Amino acid sequence: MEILRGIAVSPGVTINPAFLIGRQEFVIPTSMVDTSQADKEIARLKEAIDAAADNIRELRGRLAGTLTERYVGILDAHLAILTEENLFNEIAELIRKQGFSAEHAASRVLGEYARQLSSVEDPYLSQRSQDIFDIQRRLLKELAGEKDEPLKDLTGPVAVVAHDLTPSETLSLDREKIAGFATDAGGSTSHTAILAKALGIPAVVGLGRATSSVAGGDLVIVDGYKGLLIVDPDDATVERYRSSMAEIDIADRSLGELRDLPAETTDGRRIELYGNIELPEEVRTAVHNGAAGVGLFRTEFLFLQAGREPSEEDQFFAYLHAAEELGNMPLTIRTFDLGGEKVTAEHRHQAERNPALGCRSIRFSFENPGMFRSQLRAILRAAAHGNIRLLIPMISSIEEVYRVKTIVADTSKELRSEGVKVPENVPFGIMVEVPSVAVAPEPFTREVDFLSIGTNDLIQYALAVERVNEHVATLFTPAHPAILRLLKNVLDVCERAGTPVSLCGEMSADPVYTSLLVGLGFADLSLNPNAIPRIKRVIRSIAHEDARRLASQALELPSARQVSSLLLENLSQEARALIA
Amino acid sequence: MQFVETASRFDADVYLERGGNCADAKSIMEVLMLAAENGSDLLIKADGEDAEAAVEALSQLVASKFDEE
Repeated sequence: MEILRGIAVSPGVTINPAFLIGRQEFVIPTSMVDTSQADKEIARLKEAIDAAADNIRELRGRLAGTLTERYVGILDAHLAILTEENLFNEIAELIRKQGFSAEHAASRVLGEYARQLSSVEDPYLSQRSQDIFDIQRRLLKELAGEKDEPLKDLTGPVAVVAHDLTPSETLSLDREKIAGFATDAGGSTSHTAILAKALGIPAVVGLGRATSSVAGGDLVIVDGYKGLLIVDPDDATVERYRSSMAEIDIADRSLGELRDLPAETTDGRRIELYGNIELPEEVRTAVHNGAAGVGLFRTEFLFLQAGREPSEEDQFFAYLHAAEELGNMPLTIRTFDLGGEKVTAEHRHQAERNPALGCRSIRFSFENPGMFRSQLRAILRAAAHGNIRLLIPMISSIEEVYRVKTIVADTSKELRSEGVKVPENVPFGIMVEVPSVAVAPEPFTREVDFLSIGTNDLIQYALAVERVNEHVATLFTPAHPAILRLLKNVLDVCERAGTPVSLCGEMSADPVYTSLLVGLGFADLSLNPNAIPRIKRVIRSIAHEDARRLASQALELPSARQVSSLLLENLSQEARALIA
Repeated sequence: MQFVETASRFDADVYLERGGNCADAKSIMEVLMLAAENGSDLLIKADGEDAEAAVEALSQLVASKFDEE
């Protein structure tokens, strides 16, 4: 048994045989062909392009009505590039002038385009190199006479294990037969991640070496809640997962009943559960799962969806759509959390040595005033039509709060002077994710309407641990005594100041920590919408009084290990059932 | 994509120039590669019977879609 850690991008658990997709390296005949053969090679090229185009059309037809337009749009773009006359001419010329084989010429031309694109700093453009490689692969497959689409001919449900999946590979999968995804590469914004989420298939990406640890046919567990790939699990582990899946099934079945019940402890302490969303479409899932609103709308995903900076209008409609769907329930919109890798070429001229500590998030928005202004305009305009709250990420000093407030005030004035209706007071909040704010939150409570603790970054900064770095990932734990104390401090200060505070990190979706968070005093949690029913079940199974005792006990302990043991020992039966 | 589609509706040859490089506006690949070049000024050129209409339509598209500022 081997356990690999990655990034959980789509929730759920599956236990299935692995279907391994290796990196398909084509052996390309570099041998030159006689110039008299050039016409024949060009004819082969033409045939291959036609066949590959037919394949895309066929795939597109098969997908019609199953996915939203924008995913099908990827295929349309591939088709348009593939059938472009200029491309054909360029490859044909290489065949004629250099005497290359069709394979060699095609891979030279497309490979060169892909390489040029991948070296561009703009993440949208450099990602497009994957599309070019995808087209190249299709074409080479046709030239080699390989017709097989491995993902099309599957017999039973499998977990797909791959280095990375190209968009068309991801799209060509048969939902009926793919039970899970695990990839070496990719982040939470990769094609695989987005599609898996849209399709509701559990997925873990960024595993590093999944393809070398798994052999085709191995039994694997893809844990899309915790971001684990378990290779060749032992019987006890399989049994544990099976029973927890059965529990989840039961929870899912009783979802309807659970949805209308409050998240209330057995002794009557009411907890509000909000959804964390990335795309406006997820509002529906959140509401369906019983969310009291959206506690965190990560707007940077609009960038990915649009492929570049979304316009003010695009954003306005996205926010409006989400707000309308929510009715009176709050929609908390966090401004772009961009930086690090998610940066466009115009914005970044040199690589940062330490991106987590660099020009990211609100700092990046300050550096790009035009982008920030159009986002604020879109949010403020939409605020006239719903219960919208504004949330600013990665605040580290009070001056930043003053600065944002000034910009918001100016933007409101500008909109009003244009005759646009802007509500008087759009609730204004900040993320607590930098230790400087968590240690000394008093001044902030006087300036903002609410605080939202982002534990993912707070833990990373407080413990100096990068979560996705496999060498140090084990040091990343919300159970660290220092984290508990930071949370307690923020709660105490907020209580004295009368400022509402919520918690929106992944910690809020982990049943292990539910008692602790309730006991520390959190009344608002924001989490992945799919996890809401499970956490609600846990909350309904515990007593606030017991949770408080547990929290004060935990605060006395010297190590993360002891805190974890204490929490695990005191899990309610409902919570235990949800933990594999 | 929309840009290329719009350009393809005209008979005239349409070109895009940026940072000294020139691309056929009817080719996704060429427009994509042009986008990867540095330089910000974009020049739309057209040659043919409906050249004027083509430049007009594409300029409008660029103004409405790409240039919020």
